Amino acid sequence: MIVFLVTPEHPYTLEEVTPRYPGVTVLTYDQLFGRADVSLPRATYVFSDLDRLARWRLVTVAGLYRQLRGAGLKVLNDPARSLSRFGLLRRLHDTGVNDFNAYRVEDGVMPAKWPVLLRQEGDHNGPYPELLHSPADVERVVERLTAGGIPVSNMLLVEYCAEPVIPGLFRKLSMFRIGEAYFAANCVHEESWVIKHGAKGIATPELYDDDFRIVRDNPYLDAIRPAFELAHVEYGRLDFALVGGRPQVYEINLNPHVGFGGEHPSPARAASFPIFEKNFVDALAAIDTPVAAAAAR
Amino acid sequence: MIVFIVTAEHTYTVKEIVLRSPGPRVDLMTYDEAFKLTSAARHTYVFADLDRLSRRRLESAAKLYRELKAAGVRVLNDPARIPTRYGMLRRLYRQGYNAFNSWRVEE
Repeated sequence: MIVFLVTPEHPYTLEEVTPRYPGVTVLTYDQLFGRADVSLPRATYVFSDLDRLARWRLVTVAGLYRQLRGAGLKVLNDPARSLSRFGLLRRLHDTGVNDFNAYRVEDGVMPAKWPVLLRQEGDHNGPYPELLHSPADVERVVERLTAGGIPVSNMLLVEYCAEPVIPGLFRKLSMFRIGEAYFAANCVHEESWVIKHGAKGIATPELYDDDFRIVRDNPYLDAIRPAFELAHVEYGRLDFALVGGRPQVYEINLNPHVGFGGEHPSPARAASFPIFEKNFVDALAAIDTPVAAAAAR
Repeated sequence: MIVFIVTAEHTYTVKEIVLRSPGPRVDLMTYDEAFKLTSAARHTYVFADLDRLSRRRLESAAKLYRELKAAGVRVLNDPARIPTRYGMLRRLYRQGYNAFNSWRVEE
């Protein structure tokens, strides 16, 4: 049994997983802490969505992680060691993994490189869709968003670091870590540098062939693994891109939406779906805890 | 009347003045209750405990603040403009108010 702990607003991310791996159970942090019955099943516990928790709740959750680990259970993603988006990007820059830096808006420090994009902590809906080219731009957009009710304490400035994979088309790559298993997910292609879900069929046959190769061989493992380790993430999806041939890490989502594809106009893309699915299910099996009646606490 | 909006775990901080205010009437409301408001009486609302909210709830509080303000109600502490402890200490240092600086350990 594997229990994924999520925030109440984001329980849907594993909807495609549970039919394929019935041993997965999704439990919200509210359900967990609201239980009158204090015993928990002996299972593997994955602490996800940590970047969406209030700070006090993160402390509570870190205590639970330690209780479960102390009871001999398998636990993934230590809440006490999780980094904010800012913390991760700053460390990736300072350790030379990334060529771009990030800044907290409330810090009042302007970036060393322009342009920048504006992001929010704990938000996975993508950046503000306008590149900012000057302190005046930053001041204007921050004031507009703040006046509209977006907390300035959540805002980050991130130096722009992307390039099209072919003229007019951007590509985002992703890699999962589940326990000790690292494997690639399908690339996402869009015409804009703001890449979220991708546009089906927009890439060339050569790019879909490359996508198949990436999913099959996971060629960026050695470059990306240190970022997972630096972030202390044992379950999550890391998004990155190649810029000047170098992998640049954008974020790690601790509760990514997991999909196993479907129909696709590219045969290469369609052929990659079952590879990803097998990798995902095999990785779950490797962290699974056999069901037993014993209680953890 | 003055209504303090606080987190459910920290209502004790204003209970004394709710019970014994020598001046205007004071009441408290949790953010859980505040987010369910469909209409608000014309009181003064103080948004407290903002540093204890999750990012999502901070944004909800900022929207509530704006709704109340737009309705002509007096509101204190704009959730969208209140810095974190780090942000406040860093700015106070940079602007010369404080002689000491602060850093985020995760950095």
